[in-house]
Amino acid sequence: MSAMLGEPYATRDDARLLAELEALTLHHQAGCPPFARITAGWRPSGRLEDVPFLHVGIFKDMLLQTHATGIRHQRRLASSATTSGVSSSVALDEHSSALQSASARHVLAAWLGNERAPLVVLDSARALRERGAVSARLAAALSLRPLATDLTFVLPDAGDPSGLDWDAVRLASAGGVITVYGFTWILWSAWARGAMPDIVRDQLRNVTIRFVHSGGWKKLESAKVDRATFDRALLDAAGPGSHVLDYYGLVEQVGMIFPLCEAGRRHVPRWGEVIARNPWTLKPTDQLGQLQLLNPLAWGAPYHSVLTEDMGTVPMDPCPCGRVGRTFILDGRIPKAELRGCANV
Amino acid sequence: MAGYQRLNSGAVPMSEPVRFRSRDGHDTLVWFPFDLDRFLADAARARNALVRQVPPEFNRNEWAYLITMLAPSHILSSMEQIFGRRVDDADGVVRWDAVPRGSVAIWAPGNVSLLAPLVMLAAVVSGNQVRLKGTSRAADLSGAFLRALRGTVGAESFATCFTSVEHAVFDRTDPRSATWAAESLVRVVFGSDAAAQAIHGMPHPLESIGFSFTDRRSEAWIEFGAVDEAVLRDLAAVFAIYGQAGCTSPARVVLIGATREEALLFRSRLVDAWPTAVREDVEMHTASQVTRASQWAQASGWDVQSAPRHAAALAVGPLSLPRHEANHALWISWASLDEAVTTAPTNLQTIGHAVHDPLDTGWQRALMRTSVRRWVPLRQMHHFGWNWDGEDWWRQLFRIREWRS
Repeated sequence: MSAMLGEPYATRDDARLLAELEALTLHHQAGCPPFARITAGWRPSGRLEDVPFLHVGIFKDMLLQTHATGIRHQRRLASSATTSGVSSSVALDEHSSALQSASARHVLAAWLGNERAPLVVLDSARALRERGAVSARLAAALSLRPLATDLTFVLPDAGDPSGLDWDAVRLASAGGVITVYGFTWILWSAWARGAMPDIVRDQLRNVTIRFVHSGGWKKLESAKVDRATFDRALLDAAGPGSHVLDYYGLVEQVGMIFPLCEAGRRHVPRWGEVIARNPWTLKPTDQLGQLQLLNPLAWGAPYHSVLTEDMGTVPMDPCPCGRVGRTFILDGRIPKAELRGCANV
Repeated sequence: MAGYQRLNSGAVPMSEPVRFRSRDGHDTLVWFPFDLDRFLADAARARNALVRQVPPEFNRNEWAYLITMLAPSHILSSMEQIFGRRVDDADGVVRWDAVPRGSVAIWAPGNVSLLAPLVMLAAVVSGNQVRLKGTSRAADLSGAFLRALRGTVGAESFATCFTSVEHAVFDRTDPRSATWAAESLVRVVFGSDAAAQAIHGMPHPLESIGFSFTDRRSEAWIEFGAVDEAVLRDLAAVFAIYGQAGCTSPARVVLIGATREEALLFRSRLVDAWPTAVREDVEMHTASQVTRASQWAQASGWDVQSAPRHAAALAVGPLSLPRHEANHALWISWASLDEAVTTAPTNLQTIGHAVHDPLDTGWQRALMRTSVRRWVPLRQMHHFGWNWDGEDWWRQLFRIREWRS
């Protein structure tokens, strides 16, 4: 278990992080034959940048599991299918889940405070009843659970933002503080642009709301909604002390969340690392590059080091917001090339 | 002057017929609605003008292929493959004449960057009235090629031929498909099997004909002893243009009669040769997908090495290993000829060869057991012909009339 969990934005013990990541890599090589084949020849080198990674797409191609003493696999985490039409599949296990839950709790507490409050999730509870698999959206919502006194799902149908159950929101917010979580687009379409009844609006003017959202901005960009408009629309119908927290995270690295600060940077907890790599050489770069995310929390499958398809830069200077530790500036997805060929594409 | 009937449009004037002669001395008179010599001269001028103007819709490799097809020598040799040698004398016996059927409709998905524009070009060269359906879902490459041809300065008669092409962009549910099917004497459809069936299933003139360019796969068959630098460069070049997405791209390389060690050595030489054949970087997303494909292949037991700057994942393994639909992964296996034949896909289109004697009867006997339509040198895998996919399709854009004394 990583002993690094705790205050996320403090000075990092680089040697310890490296040792944990290298040990974890050896653990996966021993227990996950496909990973061992991919990383054949790798040995600890004493450098973080040499810790091998898996491309994020590999989790769409195959289900990877690491078998070892003490590792008990539970459910499978499935992303919603993206534009590719293929979803990622990540094996969850008890040990990692505990670490991931602790990771999310520490990070969120640093941004939202330790006060527990009812959690309102803009999603359907139906996903909870699915056996064997848990959706990425649900997993993202459940990462907030340590800060929740109660959990309320307010969308009977996740595909229909207009069906938001405002009565449930009113009941959940009776205590004066709530946390509201939703994917960015759903938070916008169901809440900010939803038909909020007057009685709910009147009540929420006196409720401190901690809006938390994750997920891409593509749909909002299409709708020409910028971040300021988005935040303003949410906060206009919320009480004093309310705020909006946007975080980035990978389905393939549940529990590792990277909140956006007021200076526009994403903050990496001290038990994680981010490296930007040149897509054509895969060498680390101080320029815009393909982001690799590392953490020592994943024991049941080798998703401790993942090369994403997101682009960003990793500034080396301290963040103007004052938080300590590694940061990155997310630029967006790698532009997708149109597939050309013949009649069979 | 002569004329031919177009549905709904009456007669179109023809130039003097062009005479082609077969080896047995029989001539075919081919009627075009333009002066062929002037057309070819204009094509040369157009080619010179277009060669350095790569439209943004195309990459340099694609454009180079398309421009090659505009060469007068290419157009004329394509005609001569169909009708025989062009002659100016009247010494032969006229046995046939060929008159454009009248109307050709082409349904082209936007991302068929070479084949569809070339079919459009060949259809226009046949003298038929052409309709071209583009797409609204992707880059309309046939339309982009058409715009470039229409805009050629100093080659007005050539450009005019393309100005007459009716180009429309609509989706598969649009009623214009039914109209075009009902009014065209030739239907050319690119797309899935289902898309082709849908078009050809629409009411159409009884005397009309249809061609489908649907899902096909191609391979490279190579004898290790025949490998030289040119073979390696040719393979890199034909693969790089489409990855596996082209129906004429090598989805796998089979080293006939080779060993695993020879396959590894071949791959190593291919890695070295790659930058000499492919000078442009792949797009960033492709480079990323090469990383993904490499890892999938390694996990599945392939021995993988990336081409420089992640241009392709070059995987070596036995034929029995599973292969991934990764676009820029080239699967290299060693096998006997019999194994290559028995594992060839049923929709095999082209085999690009690099062997000592490609006309050896042993190859012919082996290929008889496959569905292959083309057996051509590696570098010609993408060379679109006017006889294609087992169809003498360009000849059939004409109505052939028999003449006997």
